[in-house]
Amino acid sequence: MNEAPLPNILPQSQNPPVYGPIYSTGKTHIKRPSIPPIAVILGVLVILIVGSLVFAANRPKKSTVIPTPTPTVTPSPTPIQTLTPFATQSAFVAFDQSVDTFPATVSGATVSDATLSPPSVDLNLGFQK
Amino acid sequence: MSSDFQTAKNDYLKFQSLTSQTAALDKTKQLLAQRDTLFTTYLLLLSEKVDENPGLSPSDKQTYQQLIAGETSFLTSHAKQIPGVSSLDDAIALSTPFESHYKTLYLTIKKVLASLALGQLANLDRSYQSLISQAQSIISTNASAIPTSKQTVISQWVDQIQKKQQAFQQNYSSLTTAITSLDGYDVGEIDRKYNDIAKGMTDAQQYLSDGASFMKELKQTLKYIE
Repeated sequence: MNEAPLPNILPQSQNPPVYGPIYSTGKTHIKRPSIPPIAVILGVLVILIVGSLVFAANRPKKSTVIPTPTPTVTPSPTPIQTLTPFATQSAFVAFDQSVDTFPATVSGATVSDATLSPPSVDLNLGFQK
Repeated sequence: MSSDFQTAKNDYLKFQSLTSQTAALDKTKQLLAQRDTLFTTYLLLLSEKVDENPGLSPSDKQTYQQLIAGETSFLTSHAKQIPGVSSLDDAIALSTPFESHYKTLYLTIKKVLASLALGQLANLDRSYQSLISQAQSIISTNASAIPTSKQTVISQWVDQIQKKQQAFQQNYSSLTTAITSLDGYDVGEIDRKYNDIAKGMTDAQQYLSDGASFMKELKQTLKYIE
C-alpha cells in the first residue's frame, strides 16, 4: 500500500515567507574600544565643573551693599600770617584791643533810654458835665 | 490814687450830695499834689541823668539843668497852692495853669531826653575819634615798616573811616539844631518831631557802626605783612 504522501504543509511559522534579503546570520560583532572607568569619572567631573562655572557665570548677581565712605572733616590749612614789626608794640596792641571792642560798644549803646519815658497823666479833671 | 479820684468824682457827679462833694474835693486835692510830685520827681531823675551823661558838654549840661530847674520851680509853686483849695471850683481853677503849662513842661522833658541821647552819641564819637588818632599815629610812626603795596589800601581805609566820621558830624549838627528848635502846637506835634530826631540819631549811630567795621579792616591790614 502506497500511502499518499503527506502534503508538505508546514505550519506557517515553520516556513516563514521570504520578504527580502535576509541578513546573514553569520553576525559580525563590532568590537567597541573599551573606555577605562577613570576616564569616565574624569569626564563626569569635567562636565560638572564646566556646568557649575557656566551656572555661576549666568546666575543673577546679588545687589551688594557698598559701604559709603564717611566724610571726614579735614580742617583747611590756616594761612600763616606774618605780623608786621610794629604789631607787637604796646601802642598797636592797645589799638588792636580797642578796635575789637568798639563795634560792640557802638551797637550795644542805648542812645535813647526807653526807661526814661515821661509819666502819663490825665490833664482835665473832668468835673464839667 | 487816680482810681480813688475817679470813684469820688463819679459819685459826686451822680449824687451831688455834700458828702460826695467833700470826698471829691479831698481826692482832687490829692490828685493835684500827686501830679506835681510825680513830675517833680521825674525831673529830678532827668537832672541826675544830665549830670552823669559823659557826652554832654558843661555848657549843654548847664542849659538843660536850667530848663529842668524852671519846670521844677513851676511845679513847686503850684504844689504850694494846693492846701489853700477849699472848693471844687478852686481845684478846677488851680488845675488850669498846670494844664495850660503842660505843653511847655512836656517840651522841656523831650528836649532833655533828646539831649541825653545826643550826649550818648557824642561819647561814642569821642571814642571813634580817639581810634582814628591812634591809627594815624601808628601809621605815621611806622610808615617805613609798612610795605609799599599796602600803603594805598591803608590810606583808602583811613579815608573811608574819616568819611563816616564826617557824615556823623553833619548828622550830629543837624540833630543839635533840631533839638534846640524843637517845638510844636501840641504834645502830638512835639512827639512827631521828637521821633524824627530819634530816627536821625539811629542813622548817626549807624555811621559810627559802619566806621567801626572799617576800622577793623584797617587794623588787620596794619597787623599782618600779607
